[in-house]
Parts: sequence; structure tokens; C-alpha cells
Amino acid sequence: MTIADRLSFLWPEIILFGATCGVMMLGLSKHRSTRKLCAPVSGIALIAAGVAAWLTTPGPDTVTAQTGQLLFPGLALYGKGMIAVVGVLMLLLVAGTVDRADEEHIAARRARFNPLSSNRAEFYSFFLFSLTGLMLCAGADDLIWLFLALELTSLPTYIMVTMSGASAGSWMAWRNKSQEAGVKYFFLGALGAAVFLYGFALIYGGTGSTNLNEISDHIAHQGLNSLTMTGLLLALAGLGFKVAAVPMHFYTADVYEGAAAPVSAFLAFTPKTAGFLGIILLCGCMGWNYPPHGLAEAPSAAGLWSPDPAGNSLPEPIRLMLWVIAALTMTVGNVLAILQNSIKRLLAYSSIAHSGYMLVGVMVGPGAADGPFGKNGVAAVLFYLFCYGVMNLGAFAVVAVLERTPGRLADAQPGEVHEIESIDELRGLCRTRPLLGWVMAICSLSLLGLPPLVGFFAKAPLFTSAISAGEITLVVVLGINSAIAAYYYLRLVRCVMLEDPDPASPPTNESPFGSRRLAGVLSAAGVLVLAVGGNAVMRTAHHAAAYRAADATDARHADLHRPDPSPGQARAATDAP
Amino acid sequence: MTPILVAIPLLLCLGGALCAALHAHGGVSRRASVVVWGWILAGWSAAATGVLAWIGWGPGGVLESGVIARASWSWVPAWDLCFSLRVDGLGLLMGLLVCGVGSLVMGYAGHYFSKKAGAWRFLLYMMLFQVSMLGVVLAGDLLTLFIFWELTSITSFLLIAYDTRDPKARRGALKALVVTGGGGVALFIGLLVIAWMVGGTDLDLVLSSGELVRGHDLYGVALGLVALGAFTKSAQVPFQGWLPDGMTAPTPASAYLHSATMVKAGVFLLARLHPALGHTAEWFWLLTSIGLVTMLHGGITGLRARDLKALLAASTIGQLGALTMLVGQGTATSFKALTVGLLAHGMYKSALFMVVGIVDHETGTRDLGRLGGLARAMPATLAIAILAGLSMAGLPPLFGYLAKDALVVSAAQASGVPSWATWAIVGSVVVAGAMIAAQAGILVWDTFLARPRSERAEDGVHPHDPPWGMLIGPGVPAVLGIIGAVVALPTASHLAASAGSAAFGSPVDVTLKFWKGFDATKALGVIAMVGALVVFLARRPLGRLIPRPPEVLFPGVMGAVDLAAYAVTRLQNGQLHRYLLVMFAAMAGLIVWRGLPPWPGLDRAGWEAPWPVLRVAGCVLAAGSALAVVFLKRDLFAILALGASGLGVSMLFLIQPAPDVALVMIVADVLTMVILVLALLRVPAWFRRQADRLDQVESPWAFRRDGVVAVLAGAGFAFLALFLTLDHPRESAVSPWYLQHSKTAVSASDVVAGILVDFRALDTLIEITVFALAGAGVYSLLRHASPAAGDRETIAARDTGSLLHTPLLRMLAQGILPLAIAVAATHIMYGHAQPGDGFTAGVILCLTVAFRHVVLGYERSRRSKPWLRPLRLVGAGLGLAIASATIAFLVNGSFFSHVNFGESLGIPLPRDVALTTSLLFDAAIAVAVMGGGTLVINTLSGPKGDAAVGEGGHAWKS
Repeated sequence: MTIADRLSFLWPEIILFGATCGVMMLGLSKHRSTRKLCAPVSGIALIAAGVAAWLTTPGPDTVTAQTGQLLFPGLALYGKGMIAVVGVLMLLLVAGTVDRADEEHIAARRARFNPLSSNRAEFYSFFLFSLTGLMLCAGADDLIWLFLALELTSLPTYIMVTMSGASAGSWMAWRNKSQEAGVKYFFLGALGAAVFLYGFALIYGGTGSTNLNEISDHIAHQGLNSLTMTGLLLALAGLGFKVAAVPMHFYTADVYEGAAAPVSAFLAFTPKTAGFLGIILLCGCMGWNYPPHGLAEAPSAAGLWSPDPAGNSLPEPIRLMLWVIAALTMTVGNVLAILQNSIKRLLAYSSIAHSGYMLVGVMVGPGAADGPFGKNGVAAVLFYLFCYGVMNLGAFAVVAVLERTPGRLADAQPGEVHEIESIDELRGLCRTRPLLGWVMAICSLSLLGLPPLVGFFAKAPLFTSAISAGEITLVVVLGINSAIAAYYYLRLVRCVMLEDPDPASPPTNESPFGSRRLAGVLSAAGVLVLAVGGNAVMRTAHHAAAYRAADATDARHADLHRPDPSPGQARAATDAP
Repeated sequence: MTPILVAIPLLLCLGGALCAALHAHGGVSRRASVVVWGWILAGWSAAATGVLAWIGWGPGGVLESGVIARASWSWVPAWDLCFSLRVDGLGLLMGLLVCGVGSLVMGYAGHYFSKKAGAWRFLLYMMLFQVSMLGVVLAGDLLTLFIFWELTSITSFLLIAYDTRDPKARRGALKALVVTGGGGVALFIGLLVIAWMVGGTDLDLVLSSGELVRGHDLYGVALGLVALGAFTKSAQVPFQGWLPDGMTAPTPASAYLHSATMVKAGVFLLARLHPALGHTAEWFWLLTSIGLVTMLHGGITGLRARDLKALLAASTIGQLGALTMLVGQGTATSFKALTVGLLAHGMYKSALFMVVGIVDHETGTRDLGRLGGLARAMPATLAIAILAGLSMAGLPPLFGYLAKDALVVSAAQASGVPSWATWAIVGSVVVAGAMIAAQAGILVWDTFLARPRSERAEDGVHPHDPPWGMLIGPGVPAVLGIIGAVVALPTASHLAASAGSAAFGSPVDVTLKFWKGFDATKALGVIAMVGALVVFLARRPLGRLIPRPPEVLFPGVMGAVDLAAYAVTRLQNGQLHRYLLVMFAAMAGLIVWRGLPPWPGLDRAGWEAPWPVLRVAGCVLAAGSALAVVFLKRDLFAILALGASGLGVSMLFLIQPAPDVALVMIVADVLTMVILVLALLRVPAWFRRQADRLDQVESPWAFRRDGVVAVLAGAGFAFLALFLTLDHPRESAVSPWYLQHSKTAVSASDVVAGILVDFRALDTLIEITVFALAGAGVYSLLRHASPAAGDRETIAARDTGSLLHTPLLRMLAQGILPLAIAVAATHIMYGHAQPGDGFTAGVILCLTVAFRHVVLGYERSRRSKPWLRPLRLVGAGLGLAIASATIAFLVNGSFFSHVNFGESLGIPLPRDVALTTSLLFDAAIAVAVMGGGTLVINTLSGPKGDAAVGEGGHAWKS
């Protein structure tokens, strides 16, 4: 069986790819009504991809070494489903991000359609391209595949950032911001990619394979040699860029601020999810079966609250690095968010903090086989990704809906609009625009993790899994950070709910794109619905995070630095590609 | 006791909240006044109180039979989360207080807000708060408890900030939420740790696992975290600051939250968890000491208060301290005192808050300096104030006396502690008791009985007793304070005993009597009263003497957080340079920390092998040019040096020998350089000159710092590679397989080509797609690049200079494309057998196009080769790739499989050339790469928007 035969398991990606090509044509049509089909076609493709994932992606019981990675047999299915759902929400939000002024001119017969200056086709196809890459990440079983999928996810986002700002209007300052954002994002992203590619290369060198199943087998049988260990460290550090983990977090605020709000929302979900999928898969190759802190006790699979001090752990250097990165990431993210006055920067920094929370779950790992949901850190991360995608989208949707016309600005042009920037412009939103105000309030409180909103149910398993792995100190850091997060999220809530509208700030009006409002309302509704009925999603995430360790565990307690006994054995462990 | 009955009080309160919400949105008639609405909601609460009483005293009830009423529903099964309710004596006592006081306050609030619009919001929040608070006290599961606990924080935030136009109210509300919310997080972790110790969150399980918890290694952590949560909620020193600031809440809210309910939640929690966490020295010392300090703090600061509500807040802090101390003592006597104290304080403090509300309502001020002499105008209010005040002062025959008596007895009977501690406790209790009694005196006397200190007549305010409905609120608890003490003593004792037993963990005997004979404790009571009188008389000088209590913790912590934020935000300066610096430094740190394994044997390094001159030259070229990049002043030279460095590396590969890799590297390196130069030409000249001067502007220190980081990172990666390859056997695990199979399976003598176009063909397809995408990306990006400055600098518009116009060059440029195509075709044809492949061919073609553009000028170059349209080339390449895959699929049933149709069709071909799908795919790669690269080159060298479409596109541009 060659790799090409894998195609029959890639129907969601194929559908999205087909739609990408179709949308690229549609967007260049001379007819306005045809051009407008871009978004609906993308939406249908996303839904179809979700259905196709449901029907064709091998699930936990059917996946084999030929059809995917065996470490987390349910990961691909859950990942693709989640991507389709959040993708539809994001699609609703990106309406009108590009070509708005142009389309208005055309509608008013002030201009003719010029395919050279139109962005719609590329924008929607890049949107779908990126999600295709994300789905490929979820189904990756090979380092090369993973790398390509990660880059396919990221490359379109670099351009979407630049594009979204460029067509928001021709106000120079605004445009330069988005260009700067795109360039920064690209350069730093290239560095991040270089680092994890270097890591991948070392992993390949150390294990003699790029297939995740085989790498996992190799590590299980022969232990981690220094080459693999260093490769994993670098790969994880590099993937930190995708999830905006310290010290790769710098780009976040500048890029989110420079991009249009819908694109920022896209960035907060798409590359982050890709990064976490990659990190989970890489950690899965090692397995969480190493004795924690030098203890050697078998993990227990008993109930959620049974003491499980022996727990499971990643190899110590990796655990330590993830520990430090997680603690730093959440702290730096939260502390940076405190002083922000720009709503988008605030949400950007908070997205860093959320990555930090999720890294705790990755570090803790899936716990014992057949353990309960609350002990499974990976399940917690998968659930959190979904919830974060929904609630963060709601917050960004409010920013995307509100806009102001720069009436008094000298260089303003007709039909030009600007996004709101400062938090002060959200003041008294509950009074002036109750719907948006409550969406913002609910989503902020949920992001803060306040019960009984879904943010709490998403964050709590991170706490419980970390406690059951004995990471009390990290849990305390997590707790302190949740408290710091209150500082700025509550400021947002206070602005929206309690304060009076600021008379000094220019008046805002609502975006004519109703689907943006719909995205916000759906997100807020999702936050509430998930709080009541999140159980089904949790169970799915739990299934997806069922970790199937490579069979030989005896070698895992061996000395980490032991070189391979002989090249012959390494070869024996690696079969044909 | 059916489970649903346990939930009914909660449902009733929820019903009330729903009712208020409906009223707010016009679902229910708005004709009824706020007053009526207040009483309707009070009815819901009263019904809840009734049901609770039924649960307690009814047949088979909690008090009657001593059973615990439980109810549990599964909430989030995946997470083992149950919604559990559990009514025992303690829960019942608190529940009755919550609902009873709640119903009175609701009725009172209707009157209080009778003239204000928008009062429904307040009533709604109040009912929601009541639900949350009732949930806390009736929770039968640690997580249920926590969720309700956080809900009380939110609803109290809304209540305190009710007057949203008042910045002080907003600040106070935020402070309360930050402090109690922060404590809530600590509590959450503490509860999780406890749950993890005992193996479940069910309260019954937790309470019966005391031994396990106390013996656990993490007991200290759990205790500390739970206590932190409780202390913040119950305003214990040093977290007491939010309570006085929270007095900005409307008075009905204060009467409810800050007397009977929310602030008691912390004490309740500690009492609730006492069977699991208590009975240890840590418990005793932590709670007792904090409680004592808080008690004294409340007593002292209350004396300097000039605002009635501030005074009440201070005395509440003092009382809460006393209650915490009682929980900490952990004896049967102390729990008796605790439960009696909870009851007594809940009643008189809520009554006093409501009285203050009435005074405020009638006179428009709460300033003690402006009040006085209200006795004649408000006799009924005065009577209530006196009843409640006497109870607060702890005088017989009121309930407060019983509480204070029990407190003193408990303090004197502290067991198992050094005698100095007993003395300290008793002394503090007496001192604080005296001060709190004096505060009661100040409140009643200075408001009602003292001579007015200023002329109120000028204000035109004529205070009088409020409508009787408003008096019910404070009146009932005040009167109950005397009825409970005189008539219903057995009932109260029964309730207190049951509550005390539940908290203590074993039976507590509560027999309440006013006179059990004179003993030392009575003497202490008398001393306290005398002290109270002295303090009361000296209240004015004392008030001036007492300094304003310093607020350290909240501003301190907030200041520290702000400072940290400033420090971290400074790092985030928006400069790419800074970001890269930190990232590289981190990578260098990672490698230095982890990457360097034990020094391997250098004998394995292969140093002894003779080094060919070429290898040395390659190393020197690569390293030297890289170094030159840093020091060259002009950007163009730097780029050339960069290219030279890449060529040096290619050279090393070439002699490795890895000719395929070297070939690809050389062409890719040259292409990169060409693209960089073209891109640079688009940058305005003045901008480039400025950039050239940048390193002079930069301080020498920054230059050195960057240098250190760069050297560290570079050396780190170099050593890493060296050590790792030394540490690890150099044989590859997969190369042998490919070496063995590439000839037989896909008939490729060149293994690299076999891998690229056969074994991993799908990857290659994705790769060329990404390449094309990159081209499209550059095109999309630059189309929006600021055109005004760039256009003038492009090749299209600039005079390319005399150097390039030599006839030889022009001739070469015109003839180079066919030549290149021939070279490319050779690469493709022999790709399977010799070094070289479709990618190399494509890049060579791109370079030719670039050469043509530079020499001939963009316009002319495009015009003379109109078929060279990049997007079409990309499409053709990708299409050809898919076509070749499909042919393979049709023949072999497998995408990208190897089909040698040249052989099967019997076409005669030269040696080493085979007409296969691999050949087609190689050609496809070449075309797609050429398209993508040309797109980039055209975009960079052509005028705006022209690159993709070529000549035909001009029609659209008109």
C-alpha cells in the first residue's frame, strides 16, 4: 500500500480542496451574485467535510497502521469534526472582511469589477486551504505529513493577515499596520518552522523513521536516545510558535492587532489547534509512561478522584521543559494583557495565556488507560480547544460587528469603515446594544472560567488531571493565573455591563454583515448550551484522547541517554515505509 | 424525606428570580408597584423558608429524627459531576437564615426602592443571589458547593455595583470580586485536592474521611487553600478591605449580604469542612490567630467610623473574626457558641442594617456627625434599633447575650493550648466584646438620642417613621431576638444543637440558659460591659486617636501585578529584532541546557581522515561569507555574501557525495538570491540607504549583545549537530531499503529521484502545491504593497544601466531560453538515472526568465514570450501531475504507482530514458515550479498587478 492509497481516507480534505479551487473561480466572476456564492459554497464544503469525516475517517476501532496513527486512534475523527464546526462559525464571522469598499462601489455603479484588485477569491480559498491543512494535521501519522500540514495551515494565514487589513479601507495607518503584522508573522513563523523542522530531522535521525507509529515503537523498544530527545525538545519548542507559547509568543499581539478582527479570531483557533495537535502527537510518540520524578509505580485506572500519585509522566527533560513553558506562557500572557487598552491586543495576550493552560493538560497526558475523563489531560485539552474556539469567537465577533465611520478624518474615503480599537469603545454596550453586550459579557466570563459557564467546565478537567498527576505546584500557578485573568476579563465585563457609553469616543454602528452578529450570538449560545449539555462533547473528546501506548514498556525505564545497541536493531524496528 | 423536597426551597427561590426577570421584561403586569413586587418576591422566599422548616421540623425531618436529607442528580457524567443537595443541621440553620432574612429584606427592598425606576434589576439580582447562597449552604457535593460559591461572588458583584453611575460603587464591586474570586480559585484547588485525597467529591464521603485527609502529605496545602478561600469571603485580616468598600451597595443588599449571608459563607465553609480538616494543631492556630486579629481589627476600626454603614461593616468584621476563632477552637463548646452566634448575629445585624437604611432613606445621610435626635421623629425605628442594638451589645435578656456568653465560655475553655494562649484569647475576646458593645451604643445613641450636631431644618428634611411595611423587615428579626431568647428557647437550642453537631462531627449539647450561676465567665462579661461603657464615653477622643487602618495587601498585590505587567510589556516593543533576539536566546538556552550530551569520544569524529582541499574550501566559504553578511555595509553585497555562503554548503554536499542535494541547493540558492535582489530593488532607495546606516545608530552594546546571542545560538546548533552525530551511529535505517528497492520497484538508478517521484509522490505533489501557493502568496502580498514608492524602482521603469546593455548579453538573453529548455529537458529525461530532477529543471527555467527580465527589461521580455504565463504554467503543472497519477491509477489501480508505458507500448528509446509516469510527473514538477517561480519573479520585477495575467491582462486594466 502506498501513501497515495491513503487518499480514500482523506475525503474531508479532498472536499475542502475541491471547494478551494471552486471558490477561487467563483470569486473572479463578473457577476456579483456569482461572486457572492463564495461564502455559501465554503460553508457547504465545510459541512460536507464534517459529514465526510463522520462517515469515512477511521474511528478509534477501525484505524490501522495503514490508515493513520495508532497512538490516539480517535484523534483524527474528533479533530476533523471540531474543525468543521468551528470552521462554520468562523466562516460566518469573516463575511465582508475583504473587498468591502470595492463591492460597495460596484453596487453603486461607481466602478466596474476588476479581478486584479479583487481579493474575495483568494481570501476564501486561503481560508479553506488553511482549514484543509488543519484537518490534515488531525490525521497526520508521519512527520513529513505533519510538517506539510502545519505549513499548509500557516502559509495562508500569513497572507490573510495582510489581505484583511489592506481592504478594510484605504486609510494608510491601518494598512501599514496589517502589512507590518503580515511581515512579522511570516518572519517569526519561518523561524518557528525552521526550529521544529530541525527537530523533526533529528527525530528521524534518532529513530530511523518518520512514521509516528514506528517512531513510537522504536522509542518503546529502544528507549530515547539523545538524538531523538533533542529532536523532540526542539520540535516542541518550535511548535510553541503555532500555539503562541513563550518564548515564541511575541508575534501574537502585533499580528492580531494588525489583522481584521475576523481574521484574528481565525488565527486564535486555526494555527493554535494545529500546534496542539502536533504537540499531542509528538508527546504521544514518547508516551506518558515514564516514572515521574524518579518514582517507579504503576499508574492506576480507578475512579476520577482516587489518589494517583504515581501517575504517568513524560520523560523528565520534556516534562520539565513543558512545565516551565506552560507556567511562563500563562503568566506572561495574563500579565501582558493587564495593561492593554486595545481590545484585540487584550484578546491576543489572553490567547497566549489559554495556550499555557492547555499545555498543562498536554504535559499531564492521558493518564492511565481507561481512566476517567477528569484524569485525562489530553482529553481536557481537546475539549478546551473546542470550547476556546467557540467562546473566543464570540468575543471577537463583537469586535468585528462594531465599527465606526471615520467621518471627521481628513483622509477618509467614502464607504470606508474602521474597527473599534480601544476597550473604552465597548463601554455601556449592554445598554446601547444589549445583544452584543451580553454576548461579550457571557464570552468574557466564560473565558475567565467562571462557573457555571462552559469555560469552567473546560478548565476544571485541566486542574483535576494535573492534580491527579501530582503537579500541585503547577496547579497553584494555574490558579494564580486564573485569578490574574480575572483582572482584565472583569475589566472588560465591567466596561460592557456597568459603565456608561463614553461620550468622547466616536459613535459606532453595527456592521451590515448580519452573519457576523449571527456568529457572535451562536457562540454565546454555544457557551450556554455547552455548559448544560457539554457532556456529549466531553465524552467524544475522551474517546479521542484514548491513548494506545506502544506495547513494549519495559524499555521505557531505561537510561535515557543510552545509545542504540546496534544499528541492526534500529533497522529491525523499522519496516518498509 | 423525598429528594425533590430538598430541592424545593432552591426551586422556589429560582421561581422568585424568574418572576423578577419576567417582571423586568414586561412578561408580568407592571402596574403593580415596586413595593408590591418586593412583597411578592418576599412571599417566594417565605415559602422557601416554610419548606425548609418542614424539612427540619416536619415528620421524619432533619431535626426530628437526626437524619440527613439528601438529593442528587447527575450533571456532567463524563466528569463525575453531580448536582447534590444535602440538608443537615448546619445547612438547615444557614438555609433558614438565608431564606428568612431574604424574605424580610425583599419586602424591605420594595419599600426602599419604591421611588426608583429600574428597581427590578436589583430585585432580580437579590433573588439570584439568594439562590446562589442557598445552594452554597445546601450543597451536598464539593463541586456543587464551589459552583454556587462562585455564583455568590458574581451576584454580589452585581449588587454592589448596582449604582453603576457611581465610580466608587464600581471600584468597590470590582475589588470585592477580585478578592473573593481570587480566594475562590484557591478554594477550588483546595477542594480538588481534598476530593483527590478522599476519592470523591461527595460531602458525606469527605466528612467521614477526616483521618485520611489529616494524615495526608498534602493536608497543609489543602487546609491553606481552603482557608484562603474562606478568609477572603468572610473578610478576615488581611483580606478584610473589600467589605468596607463594598458598603457602596444599596443598603438592602448590605443588610442581606454583609450580615446574614455572603460573609458568613466563609465561616460556614470552615464549619462545614471541620470534620474533615479540623482537630489538628495547624487548624487551631491558623484559624484562631486570624480570627483573633480580625476580631480586634473590627472592634478597633469601628470606633473611628463616622459613617453608619462603615461602623456596621467594622463590627461585622469583628464578629466574623470571633466566629472564625470559634471554628478554629474546635471544641463542643466552641461549636455551641458558633451556632448561637450565627443565629444571633444574622438577626441583629440585618435588623441594624435595615434601620440604617431607613435612617438614610429618611434623612439622606449616614454621617454620624450630622445625625442625632431622631428619637422623637422616628419612635418605632428607635424601638427596633434599641432591641437590635442591645442584642449586639450582648445584654440580657436578648439573644445576643446568649451568644456572647457562649463565646466567653468557649474562649475560657480552650483545651490543649498553652496557658498564655488561653489568656490571650480570653483577653482579646473581652476587649473586642467591649468595643463591639460600645459600637452598638454609638450607633443607637448618636443617631437617635444624642442632640443633633447640625441644623437639619435648613436641609428641608423632615424625617419620620417609614411606612409600617418597611418596618417589618428590621422589626421581625429584632423582635425575634427577644422572643427567641425568652419564649422559643428550646426550639432555638434544638436547631443550634443539631447544627453544632453537624459541624463538630459528634453531638454538641446546647442548653441555653440566662443564668447558670455566677462564675468567672460572668465576671468577664461584666468586665466587658464596664469596658464598653468606658469606651463609649471616650468614643470621640478614641475615634480621633485610631489611625486609618492601612490597606496593604490589595494595593500591594495589585501594584506588584501592575509592575510585573509594565516590565513584561516593555519587552513587547513591537520590533522584530527584539522578538528574534529573545527567541534565539531561548533556543540557545535550550541547547545549552539540554542539547549537549556527555562529551563523546572524539576518535569517532573521523578527524583522522584526510580532508580534501575542497572540503576545507567549502567550510571556509560558508563560514566566511556568513560572517561577511554581518559586516558588509551595503545590502546588495550582503545578499551576495549570503548566496556565497549557501554555495559553500552545496560544495560540502557535493563532495559528500550527494550530488542531487548539492544540485538542488545550488539552483535554489541562486534563485533565492535573484529573488532577494529583485525584491530589494522594489524598496525605495532612500529607505535602503537608511537601512544601511542602521547599525551605526544602534548602540555598540546592543550590537555586542546580539553578537553574543548569535554566536551562542550558532555554536549551540553546530555543537549539537556534531555531538549528536557522534553520539549516534551514522548508518541510516531507511536508506538501505531505498537503495535495495528503487532499482527493482521503480527502476530508478537515482535513489533520490525514486523517492521524490515514486515512493513519496504524494508528498511531492503537496510540496509543489505549497510552492505554487507561495508564489501566489507573494503575488497577493505585493499587489497591495505600497505602490507609489515601489513602482519607480522596478526594473520595468528604471534604466537598467549601461552595463547590462552590452550586445553580447542581449544576444545571450534572447537565446537563453531554448538553451535552458534543452538543459531542463535533459534533467527531466535522465532524472531517474542521473543526478538532477524536475525541480532543478524548473528552477533553471525560472532563472532564465529572471535573466531575460533583467537584461531585456520587463516589458520587452514579456512581450516576446507571450505564452509564458505563470498561472497557466502552475495550472498545467499541477494538472499534468494529477494526470500522470490518474494514468497510473487506470493502469495499476493505484495513484502515483510506477507505470513504464514506454516499454509496454514498445517505443524505442535511448539508454537510461524510460517513458514512465515518473517522467511525466518530473515534467509536471518542472512546469509547476517554473510557474510558481516565474510568478514571484514577475511580481517583483513587473509593474503593479501585471504579473499573473501577462499581456492579455491589460485589457482588464482599462
